[in-house]
Amino acid sequence: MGTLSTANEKEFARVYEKYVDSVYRVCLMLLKNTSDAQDAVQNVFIKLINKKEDFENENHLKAWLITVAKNECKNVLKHWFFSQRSDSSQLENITYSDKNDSLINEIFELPDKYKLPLYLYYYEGYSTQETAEILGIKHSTLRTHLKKGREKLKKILEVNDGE
Amino acid sequence: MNDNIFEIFGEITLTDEQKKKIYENIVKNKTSSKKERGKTNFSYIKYASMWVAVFLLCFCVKNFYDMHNRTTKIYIGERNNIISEEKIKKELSEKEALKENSEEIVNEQKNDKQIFNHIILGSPQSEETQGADSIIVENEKTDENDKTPQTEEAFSDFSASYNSSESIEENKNASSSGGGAARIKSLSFEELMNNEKFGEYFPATFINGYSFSGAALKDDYAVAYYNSNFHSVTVTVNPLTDNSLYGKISIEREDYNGKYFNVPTEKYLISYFVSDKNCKNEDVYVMLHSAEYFKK
Repeated sequence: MGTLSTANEKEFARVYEKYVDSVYRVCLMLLKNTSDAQDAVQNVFIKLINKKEDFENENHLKAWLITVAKNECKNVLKHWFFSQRSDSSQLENITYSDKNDSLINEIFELPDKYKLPLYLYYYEGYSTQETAEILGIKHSTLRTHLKKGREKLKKILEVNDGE
Repeated sequence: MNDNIFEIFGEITLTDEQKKKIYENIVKNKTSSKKERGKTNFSYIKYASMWVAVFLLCFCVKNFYDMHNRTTKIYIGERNNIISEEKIKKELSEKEALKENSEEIVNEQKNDKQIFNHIILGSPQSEETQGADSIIVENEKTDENDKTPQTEEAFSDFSASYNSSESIEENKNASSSGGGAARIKSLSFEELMNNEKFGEYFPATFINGYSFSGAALKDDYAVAYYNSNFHSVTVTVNPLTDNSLYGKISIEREDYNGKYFNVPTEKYLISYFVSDKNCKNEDVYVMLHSAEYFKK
C-alpha cells in the first residue's frame, strides 16, 4: 500500500470513510468530548496525509490510525489548554439510540485502561496480542485489564438490572 | 456477560455532516477547528494577562537587582558631578584673585627657608607629573567635555609664578630627583579647609572616587588630613623604580591628622585610598611634607 497524500485524494477519501468512525470512537472514549474528539480525528488524518512511510496492508494502516489516535488524545489531555476548560467531560452530543444510552455511559465511565482494550478486543476484533501491541502494553497486562474491565462492567450492569 | 453488548460501540459514529466538515478541514490542512466552533470557555484575555503579569514580574525583579547593584555607583557619580560643578564655579569666580594672590604667596615663602612642603597633585601614570616643575591638577571627571580649561589656566598661571620664584629654584637644586614641588605653609586640616587659596590650589583629586595620586620626593612625608566624618584613610606609597619598596599608612578615626609615612627614595608615586564611601571630596587632603617640616 502506497503513501497517502493530497495528490491521491480518492484513496485518502476511501481510507477516511472506512476508518473515521473507529478513530472517532477511540478519541471519544479517551476525551469524552465530541468537539475534542472531532479535532483529534482531524489531526490524526492530517498526520496520515503527512506520513511518508508506506503501510504494509490495511490492518497495518488501521492499527497505525488507532495508535496515533490514542497518542493524540493523550497529548490533548496533557496539554495545559485542556486543563483550563470547564467542559472537559461532555457526552451530550454523542450519537446513539436512547435505549442504549445508559449502557454507553456505563462503558464510558470505565477507566481508560479498561475500556480501550475492551473496545479493541471485543468490537474491533483484534487478538489480545495485537491489542497489546497497539496499546503498547505487555500481553499479560492486557489480559489483566480485559479481565478486570469485564468484571467492573458486569458489576455495573448487575446493579443497573437490579434497579 | 454477552459479548454482543459491545456491539453498542457501533452506534458511536459521526454524522455525515460532521464527517464532511472534518474531511474538508483535513483537506485544507487545518489543524484545529476550535475557534470556528467556539466550544471552549477559556478566556484568551486571561492567557494574555498571565503573560503580561509574568513579564512585569521579571521586569520588576530585574530593575530591583539593577538598582541594588548600581546604587553606590550612581551615588558616587552624582556626587562627583556636583562637586566638580561647584569646584568649577568656585575656580571661575576666583580666577582673577588667584593670579593676584599667587605672587603674594610666593613672596611670603621666600622668607620661609626652613619649611618646604611639597604638594603635587596629578595623575600617577603621567610622565609629566613625575618630572614636572609645574602643578598639574587633573579633574576627576572622565568626560572630555567636562574638563575646565579655566581651571587649568588658573593653575598654569599659578605654576608659572611659582616656577619663577627663587624658592622653587632652591628646592629644585636641593632635590636630586629633579621633581618639582610647590611650597606652602603647613596647615592643619581646619586651616586648610578655611584657606581659600589652598583649597583652590590643591583640591584633593579623586580618581575613581576614592584615590588620589601625586609625585613624591625623597625624604618627603605623606600626611593625611581629613575630617573625622568617615572611618579611615589609607595612604599607599608606591615606588616607580623598585617594586620591593613600598610603604603604607592607615589612618583611623582616632588618628586625626596623626599618621605619616617617610618616603624612602626618589620618584615615588603616592596615592591614598579612602575606605569610607560616604566621605566627601573636601574631607580629605594628603600632603607631602619635607623632612625639615617635622624637624621643626
